[in-house]
Amino acid sequence: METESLLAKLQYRITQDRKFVFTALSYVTIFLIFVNMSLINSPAIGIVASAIFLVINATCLGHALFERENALVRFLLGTLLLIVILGLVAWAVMILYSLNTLGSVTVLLITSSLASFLNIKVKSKNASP
Amino acid sequence: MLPHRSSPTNLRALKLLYLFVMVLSFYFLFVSRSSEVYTVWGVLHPAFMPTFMAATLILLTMIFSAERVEYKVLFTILHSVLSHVFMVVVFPAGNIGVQQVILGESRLVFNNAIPNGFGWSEPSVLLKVYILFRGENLQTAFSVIFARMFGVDVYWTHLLLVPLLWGIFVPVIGFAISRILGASEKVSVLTGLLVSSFPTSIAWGKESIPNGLSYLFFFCFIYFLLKLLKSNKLKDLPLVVTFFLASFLSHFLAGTVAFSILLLAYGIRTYKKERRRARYGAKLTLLVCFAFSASILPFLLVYRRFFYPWANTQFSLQPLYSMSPAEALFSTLLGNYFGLISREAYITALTFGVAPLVGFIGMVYVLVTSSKRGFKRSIDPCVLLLFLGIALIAINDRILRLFMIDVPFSEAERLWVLRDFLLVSFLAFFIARGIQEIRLLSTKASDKLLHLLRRASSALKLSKRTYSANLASLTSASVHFVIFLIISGWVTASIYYAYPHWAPMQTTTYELEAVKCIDQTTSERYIVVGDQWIIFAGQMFVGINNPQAFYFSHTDPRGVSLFVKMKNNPTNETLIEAMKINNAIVAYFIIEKPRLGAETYNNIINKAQQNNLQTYKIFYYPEGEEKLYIFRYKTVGS
Repeated sequence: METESLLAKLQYRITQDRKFVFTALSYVTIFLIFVNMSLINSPAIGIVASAIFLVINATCLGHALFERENALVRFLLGTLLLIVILGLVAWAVMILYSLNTLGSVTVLLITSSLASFLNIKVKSKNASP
Repeated sequence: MLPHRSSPTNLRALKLLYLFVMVLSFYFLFVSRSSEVYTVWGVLHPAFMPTFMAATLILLTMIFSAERVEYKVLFTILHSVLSHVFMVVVFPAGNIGVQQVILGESRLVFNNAIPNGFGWSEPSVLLKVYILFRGENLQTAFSVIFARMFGVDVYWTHLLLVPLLWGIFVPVIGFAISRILGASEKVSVLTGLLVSSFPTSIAWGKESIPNGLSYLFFFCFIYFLLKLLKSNKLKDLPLVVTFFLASFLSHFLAGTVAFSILLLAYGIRTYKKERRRARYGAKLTLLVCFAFSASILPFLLVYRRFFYPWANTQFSLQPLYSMSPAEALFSTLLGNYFGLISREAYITALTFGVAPLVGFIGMVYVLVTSSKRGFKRSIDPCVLLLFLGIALIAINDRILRLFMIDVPFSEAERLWVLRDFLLVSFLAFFIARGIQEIRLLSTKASDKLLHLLRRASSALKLSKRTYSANLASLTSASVHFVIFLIISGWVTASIYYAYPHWAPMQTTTYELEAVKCIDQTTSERYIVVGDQWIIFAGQMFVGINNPQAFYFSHTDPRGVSLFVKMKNNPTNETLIEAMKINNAIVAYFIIEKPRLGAETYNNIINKAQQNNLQTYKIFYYPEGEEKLYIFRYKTVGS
């Protein structure tokens, strides 16, 4: 199936990326979101950047924690987990600091780093003999 | 990667047909969008429900076809999203009431008016902790972070948060739970469809309130707990804890039941370990664990007053004494269904009750068969956990209704949602098994019929194999069609009963325009005196008790008394009195014709004009008919 193949290919590229291109891209999207939040305020930029952020990090989480599921379910469960982590971290940041521009960027950085870390951990675990 | 498999033409046609019918359904829903509306049923396009039922029928056909599971899951999600967005699409500003209040609170955080959420200003430490851990804060965090990420107003992320999350993830979790319980892919997708179509599921997933979030996370928690129980791997524990935390922070009810079920799971794990060594001891431990788990919710409700002094929930025999012995007996046996039956709401009772009942029968059947088939007659721990979970919810429901007073919620369906989540997989099992059995039965019957025909007329030259195969396939198709028709009918009826048939008039477009107009054209500090409907509309855009743009909370007696005073005798003096609350420079008084009635509305305008109140703006809808009037008072010299 085309959709399945595309999704599976994308997931493979993101999770097996040895040069951390996608991790870097995820941080770039956070920077874009930050610029958009503070200066531009454009929904178009925000939606595109956030979609890329969500896809990369949901794929990482899905790969790290739901390896045995099929590509679509893995991606959806990864997205669900990413959303919940975003919400919980945002809640903690809101209570302890503030959910302003800086607080929101902190939330995104924490979530993205966690997803990348889990992905790298699983990757290195799978690579070790 | 899964192997590439091309779809046969008929499956492709089925997919296209389904997509066409869904596009049509969404179109009918969008054209039903209305500016002045009470319930979705008052304005819904007449072709929507038949189209929706047809879409469900096609989806069911697809679920039981050889189509790829990914498509089935995707289409089930589409179906589920459609079922949950009626109010968001049809009403101008979502369902009126609580969800708008929550948006009013989220708005304050979004505008950095209260940067640390709600609760920090409370003087008591315990109350502070209680409020910080309430669902409003978590939901606000969700709405605000998404609004900041997407660069949109918090209004949109708030309005879509719960309906979209439910629409997308409830079918996926339903699918995943059934897979864990060992169901086939078809049965698992059917679970996904059914769970998103339960009336209780639609009722709590249709609007953005913390309860909706908590039930969703509870369902996810159940999935990860079953996964942990099945795999016994420590890797799954953080997921269980994460979703428990999310569920608890969203609402204490789902969080507490989740905690009870977590303890039950621990009890079951211990029972499994110990049963070979000391069978009766292990059973006793499980029983004690169950009793303890069942007591958590009632006791937590009673001791809630430790954090929240206004809570007055107590154990009492008063509800039981107020019933006749027969009522008490039926209430204990049937729970809230007895209330529905005694009010002669038979169809509602049937729509809400038939699926859980069938699910429960399926659960008992699976439990019994798994205990007979299992290794050394051991019961599947996942099925046992779900069964004990159902028992726990039923016991909690009866305790709360019959032995407690001042329980902070009265809606029966609050516990029904949790129950339905635990039962839904078994409903899908039951249906799939039923289809299988009926097919077998019908094949046998068609064989016998053919045999009789051949005997009756030896002159007929019937090729036994061909006719038998044709008859069997015809019977099988008919059986499938009838069962799919029944399920589609139930899904459609379930939507019909899940959305309310009575409601106050929803926030109208002219009310929204009025509050936006005031905010855009007033640079000074202002206050608005209006009824609760204007308060709901206003606080969505400026927040509750915002000192710069003040709308009273709808429960604030000062706001109510000022509005009543203005309604009886609209004067500038009353507006000046209102302005003292936030040191405002400008005060507005808003009245709406459909809310007050034409006579009262006209009387107020006449009196206001006699008292020299300044008219600020009049709103007309659709064109020409006067609907809303704004009066203004501005401090002289400002």
